Amino acid sequence: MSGSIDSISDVKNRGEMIRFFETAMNTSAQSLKEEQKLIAGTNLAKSFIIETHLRSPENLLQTKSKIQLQIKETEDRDLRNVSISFKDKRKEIGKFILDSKDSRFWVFHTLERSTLSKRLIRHLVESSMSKLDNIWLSREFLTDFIEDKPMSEFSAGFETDIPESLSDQDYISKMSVRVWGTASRKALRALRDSHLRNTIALRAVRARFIVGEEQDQLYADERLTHNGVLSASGTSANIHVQTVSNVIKKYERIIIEIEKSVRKTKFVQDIQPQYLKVLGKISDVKKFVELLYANMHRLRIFGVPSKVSTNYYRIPAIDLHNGDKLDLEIYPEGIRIVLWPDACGNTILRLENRLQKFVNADIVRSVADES
Amino acid sequence: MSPNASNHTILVNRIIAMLVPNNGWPSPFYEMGHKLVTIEDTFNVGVQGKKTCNPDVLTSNREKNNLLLFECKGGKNIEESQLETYLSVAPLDVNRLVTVKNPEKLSIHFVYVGQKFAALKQSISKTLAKIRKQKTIENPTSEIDIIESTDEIIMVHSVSGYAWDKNLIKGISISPGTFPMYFFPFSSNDDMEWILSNVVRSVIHLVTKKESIDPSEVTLSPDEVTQDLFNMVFPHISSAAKRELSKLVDDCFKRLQKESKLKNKIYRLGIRGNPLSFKINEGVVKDLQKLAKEIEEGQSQSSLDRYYHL
Repeated sequence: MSGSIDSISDVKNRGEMIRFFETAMNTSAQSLKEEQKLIAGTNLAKSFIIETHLRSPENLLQTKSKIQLQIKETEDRDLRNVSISFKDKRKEIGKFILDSKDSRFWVFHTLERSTLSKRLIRHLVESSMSKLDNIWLSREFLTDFIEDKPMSEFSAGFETDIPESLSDQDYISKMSVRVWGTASRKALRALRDSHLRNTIALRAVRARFIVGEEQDQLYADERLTHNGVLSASGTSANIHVQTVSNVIKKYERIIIEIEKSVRKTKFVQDIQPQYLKVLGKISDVKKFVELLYANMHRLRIFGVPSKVSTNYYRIPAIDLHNGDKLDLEIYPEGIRIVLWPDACGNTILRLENRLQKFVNADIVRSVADES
Repeated sequence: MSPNASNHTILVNRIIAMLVPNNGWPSPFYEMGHKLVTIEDTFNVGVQGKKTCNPDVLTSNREKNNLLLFECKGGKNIEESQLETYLSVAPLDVNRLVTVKNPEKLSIHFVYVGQKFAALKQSISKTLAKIRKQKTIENPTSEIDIIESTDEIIMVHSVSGYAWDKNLIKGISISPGTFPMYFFPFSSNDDMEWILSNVVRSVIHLVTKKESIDPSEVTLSPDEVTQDLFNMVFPHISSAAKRELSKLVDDCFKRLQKESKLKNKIYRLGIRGNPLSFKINEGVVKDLQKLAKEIEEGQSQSSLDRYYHL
């Protein structure tokens, strides 16, 4: 295999996929070490984790998007070679290996350029009624990911529309920060301990995952984004694949926990709501609701806020991804969200992720506590 | 923002919430073993059945052979005839609503639920004294308790000796948001603006879930929307109450459909009833927000004309 890999050939099985990836990861690691950047023709190994409600990868062929797919089976029944291209630009073809071992969370592995692969996957996921979604990782999930590992990068971003009613106050409407280096953990901690913390919505983190001792040590430098894309360089593709699998397992546990509470119960009124808390308390519920309302188009939900009583508002809302209903009730302790029976648990995690980015980065999912 | 929810709707939601277990709020009625039977159901009282009783919520505890009939009071006024009827309810009267294993020993408790305890108590005492003086009822079959339900506390003031939950007797401290509002989203006591925020959401939801290809084929009946709005408790709502709620939804429909201009706008907003091509973009959400803003601004005029200025 050549040292320069700008795409991926069709693979026959998982072993071959690992070998392809390992070569690419080694090349990019060397390039990053020697040149401090990726030289032309080297790309990071990337894995897109996608939540799906499709029965089989072949259902992807029915996509209504601007893209078209070609799917080829391999010796492994859960592995497929997938080529994706734009219908009007046949030359821009992206090659992916689709791993559907987990029926709910599929992984599109690729060695394509970041911009092309992101665009193709975005078109695939966001096409009308695709039954596909990204996974949505909160600030807490990303923080756990780098826990106890040598951290080398993070990026944070915050963006909000300030309603006129709040325009006379001090506010940050946009914040973007990206930090590289071994002191990135300290920098992140400093920002999170500062008064800016409610604008520090983590968008990506990078850390080194190491296996083995001293001379036999293998590693993968893994960058995980808030919407479930892992990019890796290093010496072991097995570590990368294992890291992807661990992210899926952890996310799946959270989703199952949420969905257990909204599955049809004997009595529909026994459905358990989800709770999002804001660090401390919401000091001014009315203003918080105004801010949330001004950013609804970013949250991709719609609803009209109504006042229940002082410091208590209700929004009968709709998830604009799929038309599902969700009720938001906002009061000083946080937000109570009711998903209606059989709603997708990913909705809550998407909402948490987006609220962190567009309304307040200090919002976290929480278990119910009787007040 | 839209006006406050009516006290009646707040109180009905609180009672239902207190029947539901372990969801992040106090559930004393659940702890007492009570289950929801009906919401706003009516039954005849007495052999001749000339009087009718219409509690807001009726719950039962089969084990203890007991019924609780809740009447939510936004204000303090007690109707004499209503109280008189409550006092004469006999086990046979509730046969249709709930299966009772031992009708002779069935105990029935009437509970007024309201924010203004002192005024309510005074009003009940006064009305009771009047009824006793007139001797219209010789052997009252029911007892009257009061649940004080304010923004700070839920507390039962019992004269009946009924085995209420201890916490409820002590008083349960609450704060804004303690109890949810999604069980019973509105009643005829609420403003049109409050009702509309719920109806519009359900309409968008139902239309997006329709299988029809041709947008002109999409039809939604008020009954269908009512069922969607109240599906948390729908089997418990009486037919008469369902009709009343459906009428409120129909009123919303009429106002929404009053002008063809709005109809076109609903289509423009992406409510096309075609799930295959249904897609809402940010611009559409902005439009919907404008619509919502018009709801707020329109409240003083109680007119929906402003909806159309998208």
